[in-house]
Amino acid sequence: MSDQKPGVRETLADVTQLGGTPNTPGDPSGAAGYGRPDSAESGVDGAVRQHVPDTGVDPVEANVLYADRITIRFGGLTAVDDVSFSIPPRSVVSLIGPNGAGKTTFFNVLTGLYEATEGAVYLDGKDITAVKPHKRAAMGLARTFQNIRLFGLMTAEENVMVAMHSHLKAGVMSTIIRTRGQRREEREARETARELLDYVGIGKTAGELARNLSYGDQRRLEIARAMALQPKVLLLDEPTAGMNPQESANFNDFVYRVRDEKGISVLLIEHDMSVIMKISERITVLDRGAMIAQGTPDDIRNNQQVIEAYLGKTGTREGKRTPRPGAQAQTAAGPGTGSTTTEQEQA
Amino acid sequence: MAAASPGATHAIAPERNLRRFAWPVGYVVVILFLFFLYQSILPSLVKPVQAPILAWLPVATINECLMWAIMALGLNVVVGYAGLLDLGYVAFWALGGYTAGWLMAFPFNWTFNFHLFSPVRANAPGTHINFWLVCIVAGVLCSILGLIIGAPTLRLRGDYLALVTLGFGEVITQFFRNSGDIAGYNIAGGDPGISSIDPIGTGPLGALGVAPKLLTNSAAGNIWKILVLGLLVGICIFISLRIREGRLGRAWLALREDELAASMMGVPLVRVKLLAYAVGAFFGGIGGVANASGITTAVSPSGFDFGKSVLVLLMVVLGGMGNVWGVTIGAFLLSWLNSNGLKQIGVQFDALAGTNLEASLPRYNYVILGLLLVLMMLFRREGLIPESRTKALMQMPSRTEAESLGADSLEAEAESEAVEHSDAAGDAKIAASAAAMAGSGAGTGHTTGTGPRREEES
Repeated sequence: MSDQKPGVRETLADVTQLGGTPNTPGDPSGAAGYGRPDSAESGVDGAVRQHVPDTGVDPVEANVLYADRITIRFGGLTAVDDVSFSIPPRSVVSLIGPNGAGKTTFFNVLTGLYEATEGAVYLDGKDITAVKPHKRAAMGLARTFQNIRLFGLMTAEENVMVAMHSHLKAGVMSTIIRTRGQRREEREARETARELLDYVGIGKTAGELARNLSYGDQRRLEIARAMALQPKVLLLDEPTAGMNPQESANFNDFVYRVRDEKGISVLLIEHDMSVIMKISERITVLDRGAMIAQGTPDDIRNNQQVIEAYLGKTGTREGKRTPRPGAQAQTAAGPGTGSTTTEQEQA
Repeated sequence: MAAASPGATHAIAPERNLRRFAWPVGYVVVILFLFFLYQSILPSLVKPVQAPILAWLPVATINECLMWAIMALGLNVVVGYAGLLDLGYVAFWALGGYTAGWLMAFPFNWTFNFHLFSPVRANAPGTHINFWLVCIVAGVLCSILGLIIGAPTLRLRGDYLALVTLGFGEVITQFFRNSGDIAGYNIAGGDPGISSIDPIGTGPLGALGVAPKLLTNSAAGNIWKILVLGLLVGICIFISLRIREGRLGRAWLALREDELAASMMGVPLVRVKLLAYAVGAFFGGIGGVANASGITTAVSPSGFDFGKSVLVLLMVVLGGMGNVWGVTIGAFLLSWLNSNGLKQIGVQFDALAGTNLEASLPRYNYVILGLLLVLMMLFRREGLIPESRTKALMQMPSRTEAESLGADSLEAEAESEAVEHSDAAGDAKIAASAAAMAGSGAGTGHTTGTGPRREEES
């Protein structure tokens, strides 16, 4: 990592000089002429896409994670189009949007699974656009998965300890000889793992295979595992999927605890608005690859574009949808309709 | 478990310390027993007891088994721990063998002779280096080779990696086949290979007259080789067990389980895979030296065919991937069948049934081993002694899986009920229409009544 530092500084210098230039300064196609990105997008005040006067705050420095004008194209399809996104320190922000809005694609650019076609990602002031996923993780960008991806045949404790890989030092030889240092490191790692499991409330399951845990505990374990990376940012991909209202409420408290006690910024991705509205300090809404709104939950709740994206505009997308067949059947509950649906079901 | 009082942890600690010594003690006992069985017990026994033991389990076979155990343990690191399918493992065996050929024989007509702690005569021509040193050199060479092949290929996944390793195994064999004349230089003797490789020396034990000075393929030499090869296997088991406990072992397991999740948790995939490859190759190199110096005393390209890679893989799979003991047992069983077991079974069968299987059964070894594999996959997929984790995988569905299946079956139940119900509704409808045809209006009301109710259910 240290060998990258000069390069990083160089890029940073370029960035501070040129403002929101993408990672290739001098690239004529790379929107360099647009100047600084709107400070509104850095989440200072929550207005959307309004060009407020420069506050003098560099979004790269001010935010723990800053994605600068990200565009991702798959062939001719633009999945994410010129989206800037920032996560201030010690904050809970979220990214929402209807299905297919490009949330997960954007998320994957942040974690390094996809390479952005254009734009740059900064973590803690460092340009990580070209950094491999595992290094980003080691640098403090931890994530969970929408469909739980634990190491099922490893115990809960081992799952957490895997994530400590980048913080541990023991090599092949010291592991074989089991040097004093290696044993101490292992012992400490095990203690930390237990603490993290306790922190998420599943300390009793430390010795259980991950696959034998209940669904809720698996979700908790995923968070514990991500936290073992000692992250600066915790990216949670649909963390409340499959949770009941009570669990969701507990989850909100937990997210605030993570933020306040550990000083970790949390990014949530959800398509369920109700969860997000309660928990987020700031919300970014994506629709069909583009950012359509950004602001506080109240702003978003009253934003016409967001309402349209979620509920549809009268006469356009939603208008074309046929009413639910059940409602139709009930309105015309004659013997004829009853028989046709019965036949459909039998088939 | 986390809530256990400090007193309880202290109580557990000594027990765990004792358990740490359980396997080394057991292992040493087994190896010493084998040694003394052939060294002193068997010769003093009467012929009817002695003969069948020697026929079923000759000393040479035990040595072969031990040598194969080294190989299987090495491949187990790659296949069992890290989950990378390697079909060209024979390459490391070959390189190890040739390293022994280069460093423990007289392969080229050089005038320059080099001796280093070697048990052979001081004026023998050629390079003669101590067996243990050659083991280390071969291990390191193979690790480097492993890194060289691994670096470009380990970015591949699954099937592709297997294909590349398969090709690589063949390349190495062909390289040694043509090594008699590579750009005008004889590198490794070509087709005939290198012969008369030094046997293992016994050093101080030999000097004291306790053991023969050179462990040749004589009766006495073979018995003492049990100890030498047994020690090598013990070291390999030790390394295997230790390495899986630490940071690297966990990373391998995680990699085996879910590559993407592992990389998202900060595990550098390529480096960790390369290390698995290097460690596995190290064992392979030692196995190669043990084979060349201790078993065959010669190396030639024909010995390093694809079949050997498959054989080692079979040992790992049959024994139980990832379990050190399973793999060791698998290696013993298969190499015993391969070298002596099948022949003996043939002999016994011939004596009973008057057939002539003694010669033909060993020739069909791969057919029989293949059959064994098929049976194994049908009835005991997890291997003879499976890893505890794999056992859990094979015998019990994952909890969330089972529960979601349960939910599915509940749904399916509700659906089938709805279908039954709609059947009833359909019957009622038919009855109603029949009634309507008969001129009664009562049935129609009944049908409309069932309509919305069924809707609610679906």
